[in-house]
Amino acid sequence: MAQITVVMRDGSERDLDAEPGLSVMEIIRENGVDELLALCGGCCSCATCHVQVDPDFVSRLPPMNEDENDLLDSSNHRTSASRLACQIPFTAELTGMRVRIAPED
Amino acid sequence: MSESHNAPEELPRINPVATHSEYAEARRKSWVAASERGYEILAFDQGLAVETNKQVDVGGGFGVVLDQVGITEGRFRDEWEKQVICHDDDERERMRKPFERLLRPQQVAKLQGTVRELIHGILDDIEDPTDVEFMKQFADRLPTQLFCKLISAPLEMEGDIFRITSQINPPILTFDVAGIKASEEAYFEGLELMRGFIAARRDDLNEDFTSELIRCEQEGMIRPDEVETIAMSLLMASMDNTMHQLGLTFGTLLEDRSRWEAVLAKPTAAPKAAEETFRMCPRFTTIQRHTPTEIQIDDFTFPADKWLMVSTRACGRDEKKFEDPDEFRLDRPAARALQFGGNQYSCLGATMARLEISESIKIISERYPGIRMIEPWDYEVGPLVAECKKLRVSLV
Repeated sequence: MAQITVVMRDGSERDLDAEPGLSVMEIIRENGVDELLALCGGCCSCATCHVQVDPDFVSRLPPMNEDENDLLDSSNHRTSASRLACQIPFTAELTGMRVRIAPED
Repeated sequence: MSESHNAPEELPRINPVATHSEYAEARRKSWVAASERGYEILAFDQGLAVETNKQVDVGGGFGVVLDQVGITEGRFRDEWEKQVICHDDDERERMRKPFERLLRPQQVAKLQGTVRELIHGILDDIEDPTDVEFMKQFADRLPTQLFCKLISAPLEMEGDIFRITSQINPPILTFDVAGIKASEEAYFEGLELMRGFIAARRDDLNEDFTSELIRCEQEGMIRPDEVETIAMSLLMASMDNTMHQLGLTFGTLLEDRSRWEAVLAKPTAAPKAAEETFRMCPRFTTIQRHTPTEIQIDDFTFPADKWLMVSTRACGRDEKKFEDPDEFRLDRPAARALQFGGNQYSCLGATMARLEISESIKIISERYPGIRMIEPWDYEVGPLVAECKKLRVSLV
């Protein structure tokens, strides 16, 4: 099965099985990682699934919509690699992607 | 919509508090219906389009509701007029900023540990787990205790805080004119309480909400009198709605065992479970918007100066958006909870409510997977809000 790597806030890493069709947020949470809160359940309303994506993969992601952009603006830790994990549908092309859970503000 | 309509008389008529089958029947004819209070939006995509349309406003805000319950003048109305929900345009934008600072999602996320601790404490307090009044013994307590924590009030004040908050908003939101006098008295009792907390905190700032509000004042973001106005907003709005949504959420989850079993099977999906209950049984049954000018939504042109009522109960059961809409499913594509509104009128406490509710689902499912209703629950759907009246459960 395809995998992604998630980097926790303490720097530890976990390789997670990733099922195409799910969002990266769903993959992370369904693998038992609840450090990523994702409080709105994935409807792009809360910014609590903020991740920083491996720069090599940023260009492979779907474009960001206005809501996601606005929500990310509320973070002190926004970088050019920032995305909301709920807005990244996992596809085979993203196999091997590393995402870091953004630090607490 | 099956055909284009532009005059209310051509639209299907609907009761603002209709049954799901009545909504479905009307929706088959048109996504917009007419009622005694204006246009009723019955379909999800169009409901979302109304809420996110940057031209719509709130027609002066909550003052419309205050008028309907007879709070038209005097000191109570004057106090309400200071609140953010009674404003539109630039003033609303300005008044939202301190809330956005206090309640931004990243800030709320840091309260997860506190919320978890409170939930465990409240559950520990339950003496007889076989017969629990869920509202009184759990749902009323969590938002109240969290509010105490946020303003650094001792938890011993929980009873007073609950009494005050539960008297201010409910008569207004349920159009209970007989309760307005008590609402006013409770408001001013709460105001005195908040003034005391603010005064005590001025010389001893810490990390609580009261301190942060005082910092907003010191930075020139708000005026001194607005510190207490915002504190009152939090007192009024941060508890009552979450309490009822907690009851509505657990009632929805427990009335059909298969729903609770789905939660137990996927413990990390608690936030999704919460959202699914917001769709099926929202606290806010209507999101009220106004057209300052003629506004086009989809194939329908709404005239200027009309009320658009986004019926969250109807939109949440829209067959075009949700397959088998009466089923509770955790594998649905995520959809925005319409009860929280949108744009500059979105609910400022939405993330806080989501945190409290999803953590409650998670912890109760872990500690008490066998929770069940011991009698049918009772809830009342009104034109603006739904209230959980009674929910008796056994935790074991």
